[in-house]
Amino acid sequence: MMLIRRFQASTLRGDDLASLGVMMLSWEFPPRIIGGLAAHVHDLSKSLVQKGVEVHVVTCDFPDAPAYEDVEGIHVHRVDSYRYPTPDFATWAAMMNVNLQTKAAEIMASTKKIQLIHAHDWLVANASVGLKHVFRIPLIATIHSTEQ
Amino acid sequence: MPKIHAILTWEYPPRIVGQMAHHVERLATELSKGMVPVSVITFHDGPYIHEAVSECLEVHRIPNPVEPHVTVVTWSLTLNSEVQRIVSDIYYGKLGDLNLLDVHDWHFVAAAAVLKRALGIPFIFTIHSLEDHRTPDPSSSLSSCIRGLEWLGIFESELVVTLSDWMKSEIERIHAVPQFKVRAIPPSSPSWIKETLDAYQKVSGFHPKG
Repeated sequence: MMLIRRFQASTLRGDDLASLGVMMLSWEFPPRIIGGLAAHVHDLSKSLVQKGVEVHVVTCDFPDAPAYEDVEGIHVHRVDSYRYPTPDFATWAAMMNVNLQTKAAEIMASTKKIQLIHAHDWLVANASVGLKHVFRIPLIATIHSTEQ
Repeated sequence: MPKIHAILTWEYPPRIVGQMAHHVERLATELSKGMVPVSVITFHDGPYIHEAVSECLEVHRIPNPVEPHVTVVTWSLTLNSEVQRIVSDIYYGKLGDLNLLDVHDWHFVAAAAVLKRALGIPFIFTIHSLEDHRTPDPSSSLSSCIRGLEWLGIFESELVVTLSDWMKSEIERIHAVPQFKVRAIPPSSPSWIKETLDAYQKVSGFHPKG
């Protein structure tokens, strides 16, 4: 909770955010656009970067998009979204989360600067919860839409 | 500080699905008799239970936080986050240094791969059986997912252990694994525990006392 309070207070004041790092998990990020989530995560990440926050977005791959790129200061990492056949969408999401979580853990262990995980929708919930436990840092879940 | 070995298994008595439960129980018991601290982490269809079996053996029985499930893969992978929670509790706790994970079959390799990268804990992947031998349809998409998780465990682990020479050759054939990565340690061998500890030592640098 301390980190969340610090995150909120610092954002409001716009003061020293240079030490803050956020791991953003999203199954879509431009140019991979399924709905409104991609644009939201892009705009949010861009705004955080402009305030001095180090933002890493781990997301699914997309044809011709690089595995890593700097998008307006955002560190965007695209992982193999598991393109093999799966019996259903939930199983695909579970397999995709394995790759997402492994890559995010690698980044978080190497940068040692991530203090917060921000997950967008259920599609990245499994990876996010595990990362929270392993790194002992807070998790924010933004729900864009619900199944019902 | 004692060095703790964590064994991850989806079955452990009284939950018995196949032969793995008895194998892991015997392994954990024998190791703990040799004063090697062992934490077994396994599934339990009910509230979380912690059992201190002996001075050197504890069992964590964990529920799945997500229900219901459409496939065994979604069941297993949502359970992996709870495995990560318990292993991290041990790692960050004051019980001692967590030295090694011994992961039995494919169910928890995803948790182990992340724990290795995040916390630097090496793991051994002990393979009892392969999806290609279990499934009536190896070409099904579900079997393909499980085979992919088997491959993840083989790729990410420091060492693959099998219980027979036949299984060692099958893993090399099906997953195209180099021979040096796989070691057969039959539990019927009189030197089973000694060879297991040798494998643990090779992977973690752990030196048992006595």
